[in-house]
Amino acid sequence: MRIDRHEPEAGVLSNVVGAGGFVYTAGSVADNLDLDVEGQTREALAYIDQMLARCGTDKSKVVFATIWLADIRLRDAMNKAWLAWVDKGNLPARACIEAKMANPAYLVEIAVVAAR
Amino acid sequence: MTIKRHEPSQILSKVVEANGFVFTAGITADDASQNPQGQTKQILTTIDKLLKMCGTDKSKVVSATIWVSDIRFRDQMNIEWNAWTGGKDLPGRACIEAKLADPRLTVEISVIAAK
Repeated sequence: MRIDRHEPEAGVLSNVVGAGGFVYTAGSVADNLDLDVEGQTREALAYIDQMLARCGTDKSKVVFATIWLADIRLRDAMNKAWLAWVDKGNLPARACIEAKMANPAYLVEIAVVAAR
Repeated sequence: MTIKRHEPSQILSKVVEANGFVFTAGITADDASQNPQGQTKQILTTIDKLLKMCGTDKSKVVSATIWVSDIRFRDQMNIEWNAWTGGKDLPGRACIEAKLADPRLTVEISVIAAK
């Protein structure tokens, strides 16, 4: 089976991997860490759009999303950007939990699995 | 390829089928007043229902992620987990501590199953 790996980062990971009928993104974070959680979510999701496009798929085919928040109380603010992004006719399954991030300035990190 | 999505809320689908696999959302207990063991039991019953809706069952689960709000709840959760699996057809599994959406929720479980 062919495995496509794209956007390697610092020798540690690929930002997106396609295998079989699925595409797996790395945990995506915002570039601009001065943004609030809503803004960071918007940036993380925009990067996910790019990664999905690299593998020939898009947000309408996302089957599962994992969302990590630095503080679970940020969930409502994150959800605003989530709702603005998500394809309302094609909602993925999702889990959203609080976790300590690689950088304390990261407020949100999102990884998705999409069909292709 | 068809993707089937079931039980949508405003923000997510409870379970999604695609390419021979089934993905459940992170499932939590309806009755959050129960202890972690009781919450786990409720969750696994819901997961059974969702898998059935997609034409599969617990014998075909390939991966499970379990979040507990305090890692010391692991033993209580495992009592129900072991009762549910019966020690058969065991999936890959990860269990970690994480703060959940509602402070009364002590367990959340998401699974991937083959069809």
